[in-house]
Amino acid sequence: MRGLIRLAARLYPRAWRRRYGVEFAALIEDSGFGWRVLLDVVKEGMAMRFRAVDFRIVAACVLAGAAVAGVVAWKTPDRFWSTAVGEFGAEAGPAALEGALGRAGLADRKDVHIVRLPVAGKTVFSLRTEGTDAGETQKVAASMIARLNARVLDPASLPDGPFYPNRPVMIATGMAGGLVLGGGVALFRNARVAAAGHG
Amino acid sequence: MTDPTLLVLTSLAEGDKHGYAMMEDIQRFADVRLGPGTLYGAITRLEQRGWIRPVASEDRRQPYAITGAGREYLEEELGRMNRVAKAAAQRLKPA
Repeated sequence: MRGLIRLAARLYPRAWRRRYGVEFAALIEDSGFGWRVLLDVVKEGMAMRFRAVDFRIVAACVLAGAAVAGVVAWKTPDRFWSTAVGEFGAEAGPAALEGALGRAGLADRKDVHIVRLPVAGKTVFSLRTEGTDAGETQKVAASMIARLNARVLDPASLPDGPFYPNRPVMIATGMAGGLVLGGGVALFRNARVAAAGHG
Repeated sequence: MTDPTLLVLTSLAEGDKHGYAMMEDIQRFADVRLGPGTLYGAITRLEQRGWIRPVASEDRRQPYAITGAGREYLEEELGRMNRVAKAAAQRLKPA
């Protein structure tokens, strides 16, 4: 406990420790090394660090983070996806889907996501395409499922909206990054000022 | 009254004291046990405002004294608290 309290006392700004460190250590020894003393020392140390932070720096970094993220979010093009569901009957055999994909030239396409759905006795699958235009993405999905010669259970959907980017999340992330950066810069600046004062 | 700065000023109004003596005194007259961090946070603020000052000492336990400005501030605060206490007491009286 004694070691923990001494460690906690290092939370206090260096300039403060230079001025009050010796008498503060004497008071801690007189108070005893208990949990309440530890919590109190930590609480005030954190409060002093917090009070020493220049919040103009933090606020500027948060605003800058929001602005940068806002520009990135604004410049990032919308992406949509369209999904269709198709089926091969039992007569087509278990490898019907793989064969159809190969014949249609879709087997290695990175922009097409095929997922086999668990339906007994049949080959049911979903096909999803991505694109930067909602209508165009739907057309591509429709043409692809047509090229597979499968029975269409659910035609290619018209996307309701973009799935990416999530602009509020991007801006919130930028602000959080600005907060961390601003806090770091403010604390670093305090440390530099304290070191300059010492020198 | 639980504001640590007022508790410290009240303690020092009686005479110079070091940190531990203030803690003990405050516990006696206000039944509040200030931790060392809270006490030294208050001492720091009070010294910055010029309401207390360190007294020369050879000991590691640094004594402090209340200044004229500190005494003035304490009197103002006590006057304000007395006014609030009187108003509260009057309003609590049955009509």
